[in-house]
Amino acid sequence: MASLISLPHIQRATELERRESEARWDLSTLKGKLSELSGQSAAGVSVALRLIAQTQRGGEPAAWIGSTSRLFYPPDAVGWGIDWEALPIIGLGDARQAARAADKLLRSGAFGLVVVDLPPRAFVPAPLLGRLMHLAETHRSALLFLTQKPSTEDSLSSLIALRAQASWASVDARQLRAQLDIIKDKRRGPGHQHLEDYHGPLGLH
Amino acid sequence: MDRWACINAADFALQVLLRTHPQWRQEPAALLDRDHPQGKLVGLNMAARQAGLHSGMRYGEALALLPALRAGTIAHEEVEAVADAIARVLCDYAPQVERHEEIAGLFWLNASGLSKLYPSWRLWAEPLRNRLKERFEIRVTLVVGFRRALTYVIARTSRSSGAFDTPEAEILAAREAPLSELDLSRSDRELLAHLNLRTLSDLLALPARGLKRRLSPALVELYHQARGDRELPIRPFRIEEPTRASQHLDYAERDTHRLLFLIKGHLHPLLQRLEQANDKLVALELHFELERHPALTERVEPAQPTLDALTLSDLIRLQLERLELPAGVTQVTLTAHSEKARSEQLRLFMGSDEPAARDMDAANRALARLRAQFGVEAVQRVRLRQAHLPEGRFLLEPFDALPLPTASALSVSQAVRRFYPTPLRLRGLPQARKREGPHTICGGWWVRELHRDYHLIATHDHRLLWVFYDHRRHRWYVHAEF
Repeated sequence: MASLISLPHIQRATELERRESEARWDLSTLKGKLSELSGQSAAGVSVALRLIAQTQRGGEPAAWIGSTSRLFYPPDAVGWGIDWEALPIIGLGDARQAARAADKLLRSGAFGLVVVDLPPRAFVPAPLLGRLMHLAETHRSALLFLTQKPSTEDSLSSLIALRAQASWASVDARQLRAQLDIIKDKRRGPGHQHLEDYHGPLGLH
Repeated sequence: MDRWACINAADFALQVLLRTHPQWRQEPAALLDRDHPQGKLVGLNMAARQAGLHSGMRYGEALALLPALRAGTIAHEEVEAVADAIARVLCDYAPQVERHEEIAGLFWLNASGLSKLYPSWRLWAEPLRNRLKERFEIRVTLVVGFRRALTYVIARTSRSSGAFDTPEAEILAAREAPLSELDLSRSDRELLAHLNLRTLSDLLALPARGLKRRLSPALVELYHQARGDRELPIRPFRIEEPTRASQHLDYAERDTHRLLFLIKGHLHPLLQRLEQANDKLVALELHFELERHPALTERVEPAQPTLDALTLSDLIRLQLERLELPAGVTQVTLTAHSEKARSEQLRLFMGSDEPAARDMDAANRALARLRAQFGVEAVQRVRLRQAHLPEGRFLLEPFDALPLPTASALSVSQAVRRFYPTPLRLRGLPQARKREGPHTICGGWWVRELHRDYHLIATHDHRLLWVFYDHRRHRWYVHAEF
């Protein structure tokens, strides 16, 4: 007997979902869950800053948690229209401390997006991630972890609902194309791709 | 829209002197900087001016011209005491009162929202002026406007009181203000006279570029404040002295948990005292006297003025947890700094805007908890600035309160690099698929010579590195990465 799914007119629910929202990587997709943006280049930084700008444009506060010794370069993001006055930078290099700080911010229910920039080979305990997931879901907040690792490595935890591997598809000093390979998506299933174009650096700065 | 009232008592010190000598009011009278024939005249009433006397004249000289002149000195403390008393009275008329720190007799009142209580500004301002005149015998000029800097300029130069209905009318009136009557130094006045700049309008007609090189900092500040680029900093007047509680310990206590319970014992009575005075706590200072060690002072700041002991206890606990006491504590002093103008009151007066989707008070409370747990320097924000070196083009600075974001529209979606403020040393330059540069930065020979050649290197593993060659150290460094 042939499998029902193998019949041409029957589709999986995940495929239907994928067609409705074509692999979007924006705030509405990330809200209420834990996400991870990994990569060996710093392409994820631009994507995270775009999400911060999007959150602020929606009138919601966003926060950045991470070491100040490897921060994003704010003069690059001037054109994004980010309100720097309203973006707290929590300077914590230790992964556990960063996750605890995220816990406090999410618990307030006041942040639409919290970006946690983790150092290489970071580990966050599962119970803490469990609390973070619950808080993100309760307050409809997005919690995005930035990690530095290849796509072959496991995600931060099984509680991560969405993981993308960020890389530069085309590296030209004037035009950069970021490629996000969705390697884990608990809702739509993995395998799709998302491309974002960015301007390269103007002159020296 | 914000409404500000500026109250100026012209020749305030002289008016205070005349309170003690009411009989001098009808005669030519002057204030001296010291009680000596060589003392200078620093304040003159109308009769003395009409008689031909002017500020800066020696007392002996003035007396020779006008034998009927009455003159005296007044202690600085006495003038300050009267100014404080006036500020206390003004607190009955507006929720936020400020006293100018240097110019006695100059006050601001935050009049935002009072138009809802008073149909006309005259109904609010007239009783205020009359009360000051009856109680203190001080004549004042009162100007109700929209910007603190402009109300100051108008009140300081005008002899008549009034209110402006529109910001445009206020700007027009301020532009006519004679610069010679503002509180500027003698050299500034001479410079303005030399440049034939008589009114504020003349000053504002100057191009902003290069102003810093040509004018003094005070004039540049006046220029920017009048243009609306900057506003005068707000320094609220505080009536109450900080509320304190102290306990001397018979033994040197090192355990922070026991210290926490000891502090909590004092916290409740302290908050009760604030509540009785209709105040709220804005900051709590914890001063620890240590055994054979220098004293330690910690400051706990809630996100917003509060009387909630639970919130404060939590913040104190977080702060004490990270505190490392080098020795036992022999005395604990709690100093509560309170606020007269309560934010809820001000919000009520101003008519709050649309409620935000996210609770900003909760956000600020969360940040206050992070400050208490990880230190004040852990919570910062970015400030962009102009600088020669890439690492100087932004600054991380602590801040007090997080505002609701007002992001502007996206103009350019430029890629943002990950930046290493302390550049990472490269042992060997990675093989480049493509390379751009060099872009050279050099200079700094007057402090520390610097010569860097920046390159953008696209590597074979699709990374884009921003590296530089340091000519001084003869080494390669990674400064950022895309």
